[in-house]
Amino acid sequence: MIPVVGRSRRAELEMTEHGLKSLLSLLSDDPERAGELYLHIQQKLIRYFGWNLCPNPEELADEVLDRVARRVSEGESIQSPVSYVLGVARRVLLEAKPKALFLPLEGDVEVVPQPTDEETLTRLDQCLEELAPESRAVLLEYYSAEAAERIRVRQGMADRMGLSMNALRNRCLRLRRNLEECMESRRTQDSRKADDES
Amino acid sequence: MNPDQLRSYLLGRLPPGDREEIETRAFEDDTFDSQLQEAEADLLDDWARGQLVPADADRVQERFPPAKLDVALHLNRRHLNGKIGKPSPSSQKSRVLWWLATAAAALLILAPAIYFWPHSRPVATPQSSQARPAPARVEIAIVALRTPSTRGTAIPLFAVARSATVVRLTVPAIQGYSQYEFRLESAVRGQIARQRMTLNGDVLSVEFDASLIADGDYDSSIFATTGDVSDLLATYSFRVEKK
Repeated sequence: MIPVVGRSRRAELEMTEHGLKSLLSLLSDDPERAGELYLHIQQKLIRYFGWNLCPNPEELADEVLDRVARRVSEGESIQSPVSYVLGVARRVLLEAKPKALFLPLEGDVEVVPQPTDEETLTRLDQCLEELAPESRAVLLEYYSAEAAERIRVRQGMADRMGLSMNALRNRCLRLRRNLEECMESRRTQDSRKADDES
Repeated sequence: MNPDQLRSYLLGRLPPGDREEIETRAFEDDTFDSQLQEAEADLLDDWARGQLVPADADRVQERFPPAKLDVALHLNRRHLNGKIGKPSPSSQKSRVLWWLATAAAALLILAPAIYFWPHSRPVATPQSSQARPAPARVEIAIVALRTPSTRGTAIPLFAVARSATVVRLTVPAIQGYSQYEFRLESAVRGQIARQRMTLNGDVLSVEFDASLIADGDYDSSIFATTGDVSDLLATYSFRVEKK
């Protein structure tokens, strides 16, 4: 399985199929597992660039993977793929920061009318409705606790559900990420609709 | 690693060495990576509940994208409004009464605001026991600095809402100085603002009255000041259109 989701168009053009296969085979001999690891590392990279305030974390993540794929296909020997990827990511981050300083901003920075709270709440409700009822309930309960109670509430949930804390945490993080992506997608749709109507 | 350090990382307050340590560990240790993601979610939830000190709340708003802030804000509002799970029949009546009371209170509070501040637009703020209407503010995040030697490149254009009362400019920080001064000049009116900037981690920011700027071209300069001495660090030009 060659993962094709989550790659920007530019990155697809730049990373050859050979390069991608080389990278996947570096991650694992099992193609399915290699695909999972690829997406897993891609998500880590997106978070890394996001936490370093890069405005285009997905593109930079693809840039990193493109460079690593190229090196692998050129025959470079890589002992630890994850460490190697991080090293390339650091370099890309250093390069990206001065570039970001000179990005043309015309049209990129725009003040859009803030949606009302009610609109955003409706959007959230719509996104929550897309979750299975059990997942929705788990998500809302997991993030309901006040700071002082969080560990107790979450441990209680894990015990009740027969999950480790880590497994429950990962499940809820995945659900929350889905929610954030849904919100962003609806926000973009609403914004386009508003542009078309104006 | 304790939760405070993770929070400091997310708020951009750790020195480079500590940042790299956390980033390396997040890459190599999936359990730690998920702990860091959870620390982010908890930070956003604390922000949404108004439980952060103002400096931290400001940094959260600067550093996290709107989708994450929206989810945190409204997920917590649903919780705080008792919307978890299906409402039981007995709570329906109390919900109606709650809405009526809220609507009445809102009318009493907002009526003078609507009368006296026709150009203000309240923005979403995290719930807080000390919540007060915030002035309508617009942030122009300027990420490009242009030195005098590169004049002549395309001028960035920013749209500013006419309803904005405050403009906040942010630029990537230029480290190594104790005080920074921002000067803004209009092509037509000359100098219109001269203010100290605030350095917060990797961002320098300044706020000024939105009424100072109208449609037109502006030149901004950032100086490092030591006593009476000012060193020019960077200049930046942009065009504004009010919409």
